[in-house]
Amino acid sequence: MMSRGNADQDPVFRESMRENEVRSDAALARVTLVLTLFEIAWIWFLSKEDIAGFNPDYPMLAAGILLNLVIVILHPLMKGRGIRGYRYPAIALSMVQAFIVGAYLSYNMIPIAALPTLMATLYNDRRLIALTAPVGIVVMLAALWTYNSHSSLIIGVWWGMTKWDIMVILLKRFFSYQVAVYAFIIIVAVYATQKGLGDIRDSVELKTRSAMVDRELELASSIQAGMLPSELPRIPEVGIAADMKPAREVGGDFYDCFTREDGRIVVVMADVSGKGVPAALFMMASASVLHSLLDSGDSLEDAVAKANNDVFRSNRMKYFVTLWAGIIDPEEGSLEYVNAGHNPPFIVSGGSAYRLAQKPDFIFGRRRDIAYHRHRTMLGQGDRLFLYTDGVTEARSSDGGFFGEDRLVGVLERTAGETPDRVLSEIHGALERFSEGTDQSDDITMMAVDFLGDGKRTLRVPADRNGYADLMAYVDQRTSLGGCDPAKTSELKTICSEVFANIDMHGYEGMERGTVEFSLDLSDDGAVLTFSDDGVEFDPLGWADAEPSADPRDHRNGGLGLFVVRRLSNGLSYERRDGRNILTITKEL
Amino acid sequence: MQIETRKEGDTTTIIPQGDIDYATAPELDVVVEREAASSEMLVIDMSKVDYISSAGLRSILNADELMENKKGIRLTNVNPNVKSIFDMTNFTGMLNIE
Repeated sequence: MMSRGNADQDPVFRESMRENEVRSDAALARVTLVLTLFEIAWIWFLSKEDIAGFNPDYPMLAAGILLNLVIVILHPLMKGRGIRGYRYPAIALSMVQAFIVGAYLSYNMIPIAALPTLMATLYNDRRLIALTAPVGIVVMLAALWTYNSHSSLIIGVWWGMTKWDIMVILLKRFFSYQVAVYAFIIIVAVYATQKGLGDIRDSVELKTRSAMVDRELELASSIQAGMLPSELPRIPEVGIAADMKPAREVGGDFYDCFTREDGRIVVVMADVSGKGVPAALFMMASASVLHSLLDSGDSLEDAVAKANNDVFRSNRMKYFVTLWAGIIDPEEGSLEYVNAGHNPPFIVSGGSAYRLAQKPDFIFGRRRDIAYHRHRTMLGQGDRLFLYTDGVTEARSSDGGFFGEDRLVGVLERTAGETPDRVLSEIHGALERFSEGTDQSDDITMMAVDFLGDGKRTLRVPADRNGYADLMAYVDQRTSLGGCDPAKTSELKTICSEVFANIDMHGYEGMERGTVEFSLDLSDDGAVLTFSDDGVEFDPLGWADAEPSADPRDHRNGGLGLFVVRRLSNGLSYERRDGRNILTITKEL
Repeated sequence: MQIETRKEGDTTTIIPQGDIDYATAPELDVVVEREAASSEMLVIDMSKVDYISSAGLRSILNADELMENKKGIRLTNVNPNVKSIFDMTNFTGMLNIE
């Protein structure tokens, strides 16, 4: 902590004193104006009453009122010209005015000489108090002297007393208690000044501290910004734009995007529960652990699971992260991803947006040993992956409504032909218009990744239930983006389901499970589906009955699925090549 | 797959949700077997089933067999996609479909 001596030299202290001076100048001018109006009213009232012995010196009182008005007018004049030190002429003139009132109105008014000192307390200026307090005594004495030269003196002299004798009587009988009152006022004024100074020092300390906190927050914000990728991967196959707009200095959102050694691109979008510094610290830990593990040779789901355990170990405050992490292979356009409780991203293709809504796994960082599932899908040339945090969809309008997914989809579909940068700025624009007049309540983070390569669009999935789920989701995605008729989509899915079930259940009996390669080409003419698996040789064409049996129970042991496939499709061909079963199915749409 | 069941007297209504395919059909089998033991009649409400594959058809055959000597099974609220599969495989004539 700073010592007081230093504190008074502190620029923040001087700034506070200066602010106080500006306010006090205005207060002084206003108080003087009120006093003047009061004085005018009072003198007018007294002059109408016939009070014995009340015989004020009106010209002198008028001069006093004029002096007061000078004080009032001086304030805007000096302020307008940027001249400081208003207090000095104002208080000096108020001293003269106090003298006039005491000397020419009534000697009962003499303690009015304490008013300038009271006014000086406004400034917390001890030197000014030290100057005005004794001057006030002098003014009081001078007023007493002058007053008596007007009336009391006349009577006294008539009685044969000297002016000094009369002064002594007045001093004893009237002035002594007036001085006592005066002294009390001065004591209060000194206390008020001391207290005012203390208050200013406290506020200076608060300001200094808050400035320090601000500086540290600024630093924290820049360190946090440094955690975000300074440069996004630049390869011909992808176009990426990303940004984060924190609601406060530091945020709980983060994203990451970098190229792995194997040439694949990692994208991460995440949102830490909570806000402000604690969330930011948790974000730093999570982001850095995730980055290094995702950059290792581990599979996506293992990297996320390991990072989850790491972060969980140090998670004392029970924060959590919703996280979406994906790896894009720019050669083939495949996208693997893990979703730990995050809002599913969109794939924008051919002007429509599709939610990549595989069932998410448990949130990140909150429990040990979570099994995260890797999903797979394919990106076609020109497809866009759009990732975001809920700060986008939960942005509020002034009447309390949410921006919502529908509006987001609207912007995404409208901007399908634009560059990724443009998409983000369009969404920011839409959000600003929507939330006009409200404070941003949550961090807003987005990333758009365009796949520009001519990927083979071959989905490779393991020949098991997980692979099945991915394949079905992919068919959903493609048909939905391709605007397929719902009935035809259902038939396509039935075909895929039957073929994959066959491969899974019969293709790998007694051997290690391999991969199924799947492609789906949709055109105006129809769909071409290709399934390729490395299981046992199996020609389904030899199996499928041309007609179903009249009693479906005959199909109990198989054949029903292949029969359905045959009925739902327009052409089937099979070949065994390079140790793989390759089944090609065509279907008119 | 989520499967809801509702009991009314000796009739049990089974409401599977989602797709009935080779991945989910075993779950349906479990529920069907459990409910068949304690019911005279099984109603399978298909309103929340988007499509059914041959594995799902087998589950329904299975249910039909389990209830053979009781009041049987009934399929309700079958959507057109599912209905067309039933038609194609001659299930429509075999089963009590509404």
